[in-house]
Amino acid sequence: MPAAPAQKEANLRRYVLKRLFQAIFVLLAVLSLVFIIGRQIGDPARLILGLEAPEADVVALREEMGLNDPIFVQYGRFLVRAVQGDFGTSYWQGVPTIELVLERIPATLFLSALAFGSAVPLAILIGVLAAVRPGSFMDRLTTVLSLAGVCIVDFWLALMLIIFVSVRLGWLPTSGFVGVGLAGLPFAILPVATLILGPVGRVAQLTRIAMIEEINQAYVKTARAKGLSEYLVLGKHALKNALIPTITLSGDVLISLMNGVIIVEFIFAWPGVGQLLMQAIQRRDLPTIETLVFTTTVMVVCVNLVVDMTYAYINPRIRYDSA
Amino acid sequence: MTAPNGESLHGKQNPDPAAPNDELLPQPVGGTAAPLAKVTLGRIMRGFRRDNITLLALIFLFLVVMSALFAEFLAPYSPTQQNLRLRLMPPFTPAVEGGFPHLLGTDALGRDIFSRLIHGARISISLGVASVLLSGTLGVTLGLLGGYYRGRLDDFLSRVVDVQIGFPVLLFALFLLFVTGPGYWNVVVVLALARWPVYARVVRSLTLSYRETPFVEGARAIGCDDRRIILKHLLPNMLSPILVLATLEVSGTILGESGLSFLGLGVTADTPTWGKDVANGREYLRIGWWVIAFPGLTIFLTALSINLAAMWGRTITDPLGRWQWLGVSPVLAKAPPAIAAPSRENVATLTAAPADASTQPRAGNPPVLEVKDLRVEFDTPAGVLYAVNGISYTVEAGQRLVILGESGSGKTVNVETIMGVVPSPPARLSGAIYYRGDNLLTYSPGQRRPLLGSKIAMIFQDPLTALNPAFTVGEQIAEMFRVHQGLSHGQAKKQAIEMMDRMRIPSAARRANDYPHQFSGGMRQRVMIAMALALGPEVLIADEPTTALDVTIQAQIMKLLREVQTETGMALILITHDFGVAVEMADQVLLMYAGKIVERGSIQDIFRQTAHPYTKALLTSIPRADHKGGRLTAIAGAPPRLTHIPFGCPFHPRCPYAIPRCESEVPPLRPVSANHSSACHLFEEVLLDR
Ligand code: SF4
Repeated sequence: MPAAPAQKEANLRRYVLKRLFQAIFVLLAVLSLVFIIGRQIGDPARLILGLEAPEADVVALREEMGLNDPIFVQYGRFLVRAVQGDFGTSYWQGVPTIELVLERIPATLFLSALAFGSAVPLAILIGVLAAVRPGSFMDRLTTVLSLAGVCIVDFWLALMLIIFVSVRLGWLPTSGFVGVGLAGLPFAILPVATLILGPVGRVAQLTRIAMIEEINQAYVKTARAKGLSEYLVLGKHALKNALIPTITLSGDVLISLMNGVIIVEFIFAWPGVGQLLMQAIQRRDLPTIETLVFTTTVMVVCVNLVVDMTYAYINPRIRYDSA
Repeated sequence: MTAPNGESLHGKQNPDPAAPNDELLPQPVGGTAAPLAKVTLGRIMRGFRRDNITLLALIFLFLVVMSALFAEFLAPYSPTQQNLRLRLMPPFTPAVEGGFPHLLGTDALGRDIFSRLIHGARISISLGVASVLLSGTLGVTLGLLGGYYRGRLDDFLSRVVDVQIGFPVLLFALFLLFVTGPGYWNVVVVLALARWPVYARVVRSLTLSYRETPFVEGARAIGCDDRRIILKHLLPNMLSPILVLATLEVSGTILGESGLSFLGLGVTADTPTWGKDVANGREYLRIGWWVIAFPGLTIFLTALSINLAAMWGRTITDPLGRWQWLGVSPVLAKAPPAIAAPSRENVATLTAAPADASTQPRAGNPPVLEVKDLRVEFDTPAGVLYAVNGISYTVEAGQRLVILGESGSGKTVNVETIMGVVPSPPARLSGAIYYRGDNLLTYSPGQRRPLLGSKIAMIFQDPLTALNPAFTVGEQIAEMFRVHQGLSHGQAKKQAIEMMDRMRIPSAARRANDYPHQFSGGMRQRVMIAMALALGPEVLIADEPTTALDVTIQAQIMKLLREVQTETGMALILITHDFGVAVEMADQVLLMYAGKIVERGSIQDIFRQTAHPYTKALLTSIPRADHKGGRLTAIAGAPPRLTHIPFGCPFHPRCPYAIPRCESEVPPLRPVSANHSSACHLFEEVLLDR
């Protein structure tokens, strides 16, 4: 039955609301987990003051930090502060953790954006070419890439790239960061190459499978019978449908990039949030780690929201079915 | 750390892109493939010889597992034995004391890398297996419970699974390990906690799908308790996908562990691990690449072998895949077919059949469309499929030609060949298709394209699948104007709406922005017709345009087609299996059987002077009065498989008139009267027999 525009709107709104509700649930769950686990780790006052501090100081600090209050009071306070972005002061740097994290975000965003922006189009291109010409070089490349992406560990790939591209050939800097922007590009090439191997393999393989499935659909025959060029038949008609699963996967790609940046930033001395995490772990800086976990969750949730919205946009059927 | 994603990697088998139309595919004779062959050692050996990559992977895995078990006996050196005189020695350095050479070199403390790798296997393999056992047990249990009992528990679990799968694994693991501190068992538990949702998700969806199956419902009906159903009926059926998944997860866990070790949060004891060894080499990457290269390579090869083994496991747990892998073709294992495929000579006789007068090329004004001795063959795994076997006919302007036949008679392939939408490299085409005197089969796709849609258009059987779900119908119609006439978006859209209006689609202007799934079946077919007629083609081919629709809608669509045909004076080729439709629509009727024309004539001739036993059988099978849409299935016997078309007259196994001659000699299409012909040796007799 034809759906009236008003109904369409309502369905879409319900869909968005449902997703938002889920997002809030996720944030709350992660916050609670962070709270519970964080309180298990030992006495925060002791952590701040160090092992040698006199017991009286620790007791005083505990009182000051409200650690003697009932647990649900502490939990409530924690939530209220978290919503305001206040996770306390870094044990290590002595500044609000949120500042530390925000300061690191541009470098990580730069890296992730480059990686995502190059991985997805590249993978879609490879996947489509592989699907259109079965048995071709691209087809085999897709299989190899997807296997390599699952089997090669990124820290090793990063180090091998440094050894051969930077040390042996001297083409690119071994590590470091000079800033976001064009000048920073040479420094970003190897980190990005390391980051995208897995995603490119996975997305290319999925695109290939989706594309092959779409090429066999009846509407492709229709498009050909309409006298459209193969470019339109495949690149417009089949691809738009094949992109639907690919878009869902790009959410996963962003999330696996968040994994990747931890290692890649650590190896390439890239001053982003991933490096901050490793530094915080080495210095046992709990508030910073908590902040990172929370901000990552916020990012994950946003990514999923964006993916869902794009999905709803590109796949007309979902606006109705999922409502 | 790369999140392994086995599901998306090997999850779906790609469908054979070359597979021709479904209706052509040979039906399996014995239902499911149940070969008579046995699994023998020889077959397994030959299977491995063909698939030597899997063999290599399995051998490598065996060596790694042996290393893990017997490292002390296999490693030439103790993994912790330092030798400061042999620091950072490259691969193949001979040992000073004349012992075993340092095959893979030594690290910064002079320790033998090869020996360290052998010992490192112990941590990787045992930790991988332990963690997978834990996560698998947890995930499978929760997935089964959630999928079986549904309700609150299931909702909650699904939510948790979704959240966790969407969360970066490494961050999760690092956070937990930061809290618990490093250590072997901590790593095992943390990785298990990170990965159990993968099993839960797969098992839950499997449980949901098995829950409704007869065997589970049957078990419930005879009073089996839940525990028994889950353990005895559900779990065994899921075992092979779970095992394949678990194998892939071992690889993922090994990679995960190596990452944690590399970051210094893995196993603490000073037993070597592959990840730690890579980390150890970091400081020496300028002078000792081998310190890093070999541990990483070992991780890579191990993960690769496990993945290949899992792929193999997936193949051999699938019955059909197993037989293919063993090199036993299920088709060949069956008894030889009762009817032989036509030999080359036989095909030659088919070709030799004289064409009747109406297919001779004409001088002067050529017909709109002329098909001459068209043959279409496909190579399939079951042999050559003879879809169209030398058919000839002409279509004049304004003519309504109905092609009648059962499914598998080659009627659809015939018209798809005209449109050039039959996958052409797998299909072998011969003969000619003349459009206004020019042979389309000699055209390149680029030359043919301007004609398609504009001069010759086609509408398909199921409008839901034939329309692209991702574009609005307005856009799909407008595309015709933009591509063929170069109109702008706006103009094309206006034209499209006008076409929809002409096809009597209510409130066309608004509905043009809707997507195909928002239309009813009948409206969708109107959209298809609007699209096909957009550019005023000279020939419209309609392939069973109403089969997918309700009976009342069918009549409306036929009425519309007849009206537009009269209005525009185009030629109409209508493919159907419905004699009722033929009676309603046809000037000329072509009956096809096994890829050949068996009878041709005006609809009156066919009805009053039926000259072929097949036609006769069809006509008597039409239910009288009550229902005019008689389907062509009520004849004894089945239509021949196109891979195994009988010798002589293809209809002889089902023909009540058959004489011995019919089994050996192909009946040519002979004129019955001026514009009526039949391919039957005995048509005179058939004519008299009423
Ligand atoms: S040729 Fe023989 S078998 Fe074929 S239709 Fe005529 S009588 Fe029947």
